[in-house]
Amino acid sequence: MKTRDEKAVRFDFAADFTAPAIRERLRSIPYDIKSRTFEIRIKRSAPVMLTTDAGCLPISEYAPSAKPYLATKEDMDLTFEFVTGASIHAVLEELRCGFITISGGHRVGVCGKTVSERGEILSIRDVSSLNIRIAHEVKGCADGVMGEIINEGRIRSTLVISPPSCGKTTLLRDIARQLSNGVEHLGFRGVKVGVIDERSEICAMYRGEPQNDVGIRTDVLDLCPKSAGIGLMLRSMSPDVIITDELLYPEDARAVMQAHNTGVAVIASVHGESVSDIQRKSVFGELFEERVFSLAITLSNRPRTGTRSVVRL
Amino acid sequence: METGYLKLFGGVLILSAGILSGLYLSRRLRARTAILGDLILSLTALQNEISFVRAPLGEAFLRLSRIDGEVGRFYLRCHEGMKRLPRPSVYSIWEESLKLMFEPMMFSSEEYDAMLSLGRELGTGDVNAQLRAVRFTAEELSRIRKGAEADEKKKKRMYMGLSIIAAAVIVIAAA
Repeated sequence: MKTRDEKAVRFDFAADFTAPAIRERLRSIPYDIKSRTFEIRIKRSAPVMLTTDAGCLPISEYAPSAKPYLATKEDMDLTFEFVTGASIHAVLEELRCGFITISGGHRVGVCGKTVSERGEILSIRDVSSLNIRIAHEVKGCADGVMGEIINEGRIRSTLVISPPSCGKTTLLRDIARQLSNGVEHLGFRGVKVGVIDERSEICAMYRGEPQNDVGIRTDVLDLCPKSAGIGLMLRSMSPDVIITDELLYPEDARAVMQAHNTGVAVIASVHGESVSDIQRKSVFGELFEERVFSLAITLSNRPRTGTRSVVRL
Repeated sequence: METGYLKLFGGVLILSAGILSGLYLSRRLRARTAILGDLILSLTALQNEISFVRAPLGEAFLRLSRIDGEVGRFYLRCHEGMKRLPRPSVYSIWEESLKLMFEPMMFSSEEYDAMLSLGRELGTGDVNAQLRAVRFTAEELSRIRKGAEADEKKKKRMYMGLSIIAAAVIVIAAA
């Protein structure tokens, strides 16, 4: 019998938010599958699926004892009720972004019929798809890069370059934790870290509390646009380093420049394949001209997720 | 002599029982209007929790549980129900708590039905639909309360009078 490892426990915790008929079937999944699961996908009138390293397959493929199960309207409504805490009004801001963070830091993507008024989403009804992304923290995944980021007690502004699903958020989270708590073997005492978590992915805030360990000196601006959040964090919390996810727009780049000009280090991620790939994008031109970033970490999923190389700029 | 005392004692007992049952019935009438009043107040607070505070229902129920008496206990049961695992639906928690509040009181089913309908809307509709349902229930309860107050005025004395008369008739008949 396999022991219940942390990932399987997280899976069970997330499964508790599903309707009883689905929950019962998810509970019967073998532990080794639970610990390899990234997503539980529930779609009305379609088989309940799990996404693992083997792909996105119906639960019956993972557990021969579990018969294929098609989610009903009642299952969708109940699961939606559980993930919203029966309080759509309380999670509306998140819902407008298309997902809800639930206790435990799991994120639930929602599709359905939106109810809107004057262009503003008021609610989602007739929920058609739910995607529960199992939260996973990999503490220590940044160990190999901390020696580069911390240079003689100072923090190098760093750009994490990665295609989707290669672990950039997981890496940023562990960097935040280590910079905040300190890194003993490098003789580095923790510093004040400000995280601008526009999509609530780094810290997974749930009712004011980070569900992931991001360190004791970390302040979080949750669901706040980077362009506004960086300035706000600089003024309000005087951070030593700002960490943010997925720079995309010119205003994001301008906000990073603002932090750089005030002497605060920035560690940010960006979608891309390589440094030259990012340098070609005009949006980030000024950041490279002004040499804002002195370090780049590129991630890929070959040969496996989180494979990285470090480049000094 | 002894029989006379016994009869007198029995008569006093029957009269006291009559007065007590009259008092009990009129107290029930008063309790009904009081509970209806507390429920209406709690729905106003619930409206604020949903529209302004945007509090999750579990938290809102906890704050509403500070209301004294039965209504406070009702919301506390709802709050505790929402923490249960495996998770039950809000409607089933609401229904269960309503039954626990109303059944011992043996009240009219009007207010029970009004509150039960609200439970069907809570947690499922959008903000406006929920607020409409809360307002509608509050209005419905106000209407029921007016009837209950009139009932209380009309029946309170009647219950007392009838109980005493019934007890007196028993005493006289037994004598």
